[in-house]
Amino acid sequence: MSSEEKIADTFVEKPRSLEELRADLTSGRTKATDLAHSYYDRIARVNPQLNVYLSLTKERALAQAERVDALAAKGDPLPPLAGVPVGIKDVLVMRGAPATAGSKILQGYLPPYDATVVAKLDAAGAVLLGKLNCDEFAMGSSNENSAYGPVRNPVDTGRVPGGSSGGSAAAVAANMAVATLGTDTGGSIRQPASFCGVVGVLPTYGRVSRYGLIAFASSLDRVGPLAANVRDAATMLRVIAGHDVNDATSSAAPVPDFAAESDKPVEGLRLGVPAEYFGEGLDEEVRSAIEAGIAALKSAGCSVKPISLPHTKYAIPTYYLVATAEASANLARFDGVRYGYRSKASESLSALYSHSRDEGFGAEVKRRIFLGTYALSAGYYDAYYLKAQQVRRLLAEEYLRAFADVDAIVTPTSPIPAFKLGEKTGDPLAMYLADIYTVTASLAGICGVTVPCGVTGAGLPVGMQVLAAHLREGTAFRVARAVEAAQP
Amino acid sequence: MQDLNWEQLYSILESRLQQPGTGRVTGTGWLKKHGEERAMTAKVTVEDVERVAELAHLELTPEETPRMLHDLNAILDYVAELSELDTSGVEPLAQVAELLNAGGAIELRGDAVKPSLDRAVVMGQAPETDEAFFKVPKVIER
Repeated sequence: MSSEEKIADTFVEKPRSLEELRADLTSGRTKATDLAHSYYDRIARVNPQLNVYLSLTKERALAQAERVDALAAKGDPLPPLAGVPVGIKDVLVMRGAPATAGSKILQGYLPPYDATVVAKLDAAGAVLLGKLNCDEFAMGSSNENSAYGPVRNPVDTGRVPGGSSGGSAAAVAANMAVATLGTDTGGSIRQPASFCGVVGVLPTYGRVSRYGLIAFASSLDRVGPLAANVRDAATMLRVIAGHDVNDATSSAAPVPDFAAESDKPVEGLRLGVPAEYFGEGLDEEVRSAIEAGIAALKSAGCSVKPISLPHTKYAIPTYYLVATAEASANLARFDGVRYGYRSKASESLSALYSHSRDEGFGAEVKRRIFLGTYALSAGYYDAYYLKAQQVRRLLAEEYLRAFADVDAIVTPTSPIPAFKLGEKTGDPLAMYLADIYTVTASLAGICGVTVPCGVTGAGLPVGMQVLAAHLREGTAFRVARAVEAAQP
Repeated sequence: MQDLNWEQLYSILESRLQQPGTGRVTGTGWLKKHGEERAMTAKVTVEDVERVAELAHLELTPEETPRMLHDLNAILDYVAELSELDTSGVEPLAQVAELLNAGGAIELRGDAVKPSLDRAVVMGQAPETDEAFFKVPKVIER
């Protein structure tokens, strides 16, 4: 074994399952405080090389762990995530803890409230370890756009973990948390989960409250869990999902027991494989790994048929117009006045705004604000933004038609495995192309799960994306479990 | 080959999109009709970049401007693909919620006063305040 392989092995470590942890905590074999300390020890050892955590919330975490230990000692029933060490992407707010959104413009900002998903995890007994590094304002596909340095892929530290939830995916892959929360606007949970070899969930739009999420694109943003196995991801989703009065776009649909749904066998499920996702640009090793996964699903009793989603290619221009337009509006609030970074010595209010924003925002964020502002400006709204929203409806309708014939659609999560740091940042279009597998589902509002499905010859993880109709996460979890069961 | 003036290009495009029953609007199709034989591309100019910078309250250095120009042009070329699609009569889909709820209505809460954030805590996050207001440079010169 070469020394490089040894180093990679040091970082990759699979967390224990929620079921195992719960058994240990209930029986008293493990104490939540000891567990929390062991995670902080591991973080202290490996975070310098991986740059996964931006800040730690030790006081809050240990106080929660103590509460869990007290419950366990009394023999009281433990809440669903009691004692479970969880990391939170730094675009979600935790009261009194830094929330940078991976940006300098929020350096020093301490939110005065908890995001709804944070409050739900808290109520479920989870031990919230700290805030996870991410691309700035969730804009990026490699976690190289963070103002606080890139996150490194635990599988190969010369490679990116993916983005924008790079920290969330790497944390699970390196056992720096048992599960994490990430966010997905155009693939930002699914792609990094795929690059790091972990499970990531794209909940239906509206399934999980966005209250307390620093907004990027309000009609696209979703909060979702990442975990080491499908059942745990399903358990996490159940905890964070549900209607929220503080989020007018959150769905009142009842939240099923997703973990129980995932236990159901897949025999008889109809799967669709879209031709458009298997053409030029798909890495051959990724293709083989996905084909092996599909073969396993067939063996498990699924019927598989080819389908066509001809509007797939229009998803990227549509996404970049809709997402950047909404981002330009959402990021208008960062102006140096009420929170965050303020530029020194500005001679006028107008200069205060532009200096603060210019100095506080990174290049990718500025690029997207520019494009979005351009797309919405007088004279262009109809040709760009409105047109994009029309195409969006065509894309969504195409999926709805497909789901009339199949229960789930399976695709590679990414056309390529994790690339090297610095490899793609020269060409914005190359980075955008890597999004094609993920943005159509984002635009349509449907749900999906990415599940590890083999590795390349160099040992890089490959992920299979299982997409399901709105509110049908249970189906996606079921299929993902079957793929997972077929892995060596 | 002569570059199309973007203003002229946009006004032609706008009038085409607004015509009912336009059918397929393809880049080369209608340009051939107007005597030009190249794919439609809107080119971003330095003036556009400056105008957008003003709107977005962002300042680009002279070094950053060419890169931004290049990036925006590359992206807009890509985006011109959308014009290939016939979307006449298609309702824009701005909020996915309408696909989830039959009827699509978003539930609004009642107009009742509820406790909000602690004012002192919120003001404490600002770069400069007099505790009652956020302080900024003068807007109007006396």
